[in-house]
Amino acid sequence: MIPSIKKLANEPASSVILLLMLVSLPHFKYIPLTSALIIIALLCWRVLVIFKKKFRPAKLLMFFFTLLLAAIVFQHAGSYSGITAGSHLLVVMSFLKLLESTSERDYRLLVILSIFIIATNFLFSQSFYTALYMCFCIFITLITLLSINQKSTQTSLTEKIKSSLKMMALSLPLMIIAFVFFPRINGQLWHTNSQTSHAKTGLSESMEPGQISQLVFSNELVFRARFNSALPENKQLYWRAMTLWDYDGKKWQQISSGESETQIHLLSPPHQYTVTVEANNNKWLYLLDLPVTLSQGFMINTDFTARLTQPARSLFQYSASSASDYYLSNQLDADIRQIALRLPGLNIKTAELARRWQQNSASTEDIIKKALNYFSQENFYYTLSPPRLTTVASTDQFLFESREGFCEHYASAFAVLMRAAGVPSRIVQGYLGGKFNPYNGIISVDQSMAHAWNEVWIAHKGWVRIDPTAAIAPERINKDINAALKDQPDLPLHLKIDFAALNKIRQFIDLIDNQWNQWILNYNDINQKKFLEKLSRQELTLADISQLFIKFMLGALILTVMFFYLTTKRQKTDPVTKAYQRFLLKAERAGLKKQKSEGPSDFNRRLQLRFPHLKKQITQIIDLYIELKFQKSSNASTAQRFIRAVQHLKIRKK
Amino acid sequence: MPVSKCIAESAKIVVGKNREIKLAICCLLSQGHLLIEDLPGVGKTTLALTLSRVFGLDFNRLQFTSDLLPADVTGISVFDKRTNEFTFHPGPVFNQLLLADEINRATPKTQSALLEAMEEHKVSVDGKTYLLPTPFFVIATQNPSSQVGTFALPESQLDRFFIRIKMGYPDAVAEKRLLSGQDPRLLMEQIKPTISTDELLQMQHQTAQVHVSEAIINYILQIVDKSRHENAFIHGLSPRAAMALKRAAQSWAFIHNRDYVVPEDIQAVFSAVCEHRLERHIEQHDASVQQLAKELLDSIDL
Repeated sequence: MIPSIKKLANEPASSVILLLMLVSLPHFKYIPLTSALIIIALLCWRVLVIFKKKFRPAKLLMFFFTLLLAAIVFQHAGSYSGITAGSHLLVVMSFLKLLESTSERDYRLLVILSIFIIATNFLFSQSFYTALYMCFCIFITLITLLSINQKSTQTSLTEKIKSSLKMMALSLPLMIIAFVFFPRINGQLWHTNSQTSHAKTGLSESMEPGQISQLVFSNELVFRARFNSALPENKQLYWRAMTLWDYDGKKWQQISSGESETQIHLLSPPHQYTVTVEANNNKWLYLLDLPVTLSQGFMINTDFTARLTQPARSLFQYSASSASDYYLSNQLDADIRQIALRLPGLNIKTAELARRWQQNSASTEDIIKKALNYFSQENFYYTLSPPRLTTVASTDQFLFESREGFCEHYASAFAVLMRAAGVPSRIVQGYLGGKFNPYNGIISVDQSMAHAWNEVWIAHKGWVRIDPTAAIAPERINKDINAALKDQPDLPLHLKIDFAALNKIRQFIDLIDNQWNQWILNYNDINQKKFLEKLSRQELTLADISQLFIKFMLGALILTVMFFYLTTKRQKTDPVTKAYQRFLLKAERAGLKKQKSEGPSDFNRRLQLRFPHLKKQITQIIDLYIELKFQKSSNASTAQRFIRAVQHLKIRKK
Repeated sequence: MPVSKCIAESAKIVVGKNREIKLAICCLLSQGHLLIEDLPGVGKTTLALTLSRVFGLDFNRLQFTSDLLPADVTGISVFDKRTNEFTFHPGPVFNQLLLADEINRATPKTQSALLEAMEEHKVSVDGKTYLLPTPFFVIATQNPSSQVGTFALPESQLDRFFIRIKMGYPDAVAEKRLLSGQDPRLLMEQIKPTISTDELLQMQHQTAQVHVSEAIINYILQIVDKSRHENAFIHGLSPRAAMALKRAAQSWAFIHNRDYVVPEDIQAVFSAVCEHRLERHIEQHDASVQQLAKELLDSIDL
């Protein structure tokens, strides 16, 4: 076993195999299983070839494989354009190339392909960890390239590591300049919207039972918020994304018509905050209940939500202010009121219960209280895995039979009850809570915090937030989802683990990630312009920025070249030495190479033996060289004669 | 050329050892001292005797033994009854050519006395300094130190010898000539001095004038530098060794009828001048000093 390992370590192909594996590792997340298995098979085959040369694939077989893999890629993506298909094709074909690679030239080509694969990884993920991993890949690439190029000189691994690190350090200034000054254009790089593999997660446009509870299983980050003012309490962290009005007995949906403008009367100063939303392919802005102002370029709708015109494919940021202490003054339009009371009329028992409450209550508030009491006093359970609601009258089934549900069940049931009791109501979908990171004071919200609650219209008060979940599981509102679900047997792992040390690590990772987002990913066209204008203290156009980029790049290049020019020891080669070297080259081409430490006279002797027909010319050259180099008196004309003699010399093999 | 004549003359007696003769003469011309290291009976003494004859030098032979005292080398002051004074009786060191036979059989104290005289060209006895004759040339012979009853010269004293040569067995042709011809000792009697002492002194002066170009100086520097940074040796070559290398190359060039040094001169004298000044590193267990020195020389670009 040991000798085979030794053989593997000495084989130049091994480092290239390893490199290709490393750089394409992240791609395995996006390529289909068939391709992954084929790649593994190709790898095994290539390793086999190291040991047994006869297993090298035939040309015809390679041709067949090429067609096969091309077909698999096409079958998977339906085309060859687009990021997924393109990178898929690149990765599988690189491994195919690896199989047939045996020469140094092939290995160089594979190293270049690896660099290209490294670049494609950023089309899928631009996170800090991806960047870190890719830096590591580049480091390995450089080492591989060095071992290919320095095969004969036998440099040690430590030296290779050193020179790779040096190369990376030297390219750092150029990288920084390119990052800061490369003109950024508003828009997507290439047509990245054709990527289909990136299914969106998060809230959907509508709400059905079971949808939100599914999100609890994901700890994917949705957005981060930084508060300029004091942090609101956890129970106030209601982040609204959308309002749902239209109920068909199963599904809650949005409506297109808007209400009339609402006047907000603030009772205390609003919270100021900035939100950075991850690229999640959704259109929502997440605004703290109740938004008052929003940064330029965005608009608060009449239902106090806001949305983008295009799904977010990259990170975006906005700042807003929200009031926690306020009252509203406006009228509910008749048509809107009608929508807010509309029911499919399927849940007869529910309607009866609601009507009883309506008859026995003096005010709307009383009805709400009765409903909330009903939830808290009857045997209702807050659970992640409620039984499926099978009947058409799903609210009836929930309220009178199953009585187990997640927030969307309670929000839905509450809305139905209110509407049946004649109280206009709607559902708000969004997130509740946020993890506070003490290291940077930032709140991060992930998918497991998805939530749904209600708003009811109370005359003279406007839309008032009512969260029926609070009546069943107050811990959800006051603390977090972990507390509310702590007795659940099938709680997802990321919610179950709650050690202090682990939380610290999480918070630290979150800190790095946030810095990366703020400083690197968020450096878009607008921020670049802002930053450079601040730096140069004048207005800049895109053309100006391009010019700056070119100037800085050239400057950095010139500086680098100068640095090398000044620091590397150059041997001054005088014309005589140069001519002698030319003479040696001529002799070498004719088949006689001077030994490293061979003196001119000794070499002359050998030359005489090898080229007796050139005796006179060669002796003259050697004598002149000795005169120039070792004798006391020599002048410029001797040097000239020597150089000319070398020029005229033609050594032909006999 | 008088030198060529001397070489030719010596070669008549010391058969088949042209290179060794040249190196010995090179040493003499460079005003250095010679160390011959080899087994008994390979012609060490013959070479020394021949040289004294050819160059017409006063010759004395001193057999080193373990009971030899420093005074036996340098000389002694003896009280003269008639004059009531101490008179100095010069020792064998007061000769133009001294053959110090089997130097490593004497005690270090006696060895030092000779080496001091070699270095200083003078002897101090009882507070009085006596100058040694010019030219002063010591040929010391040494048995391989593995032989019984020897005190190997330490490196610091080996460095005092300008050139060290090994005689080695003669080749078959030379040995045949040696056996079939006349006894070298008898032949030696017939040899007349080829050059005078004045001529020798003049030649010693001339060799020092041989041109050493900058390229050669750089070459020597490269060799010395490499010997100091190579792991093969415990110590690198000393500046004294570098100067010796240059001086020997000058004489070598002179012997070959040139008034300038070429790299080949350096290469020719390198092993004789430098090998005894180098000590191989303990880790280099599979290579001899000769091999390592050759590798050193081969590794330098020309």
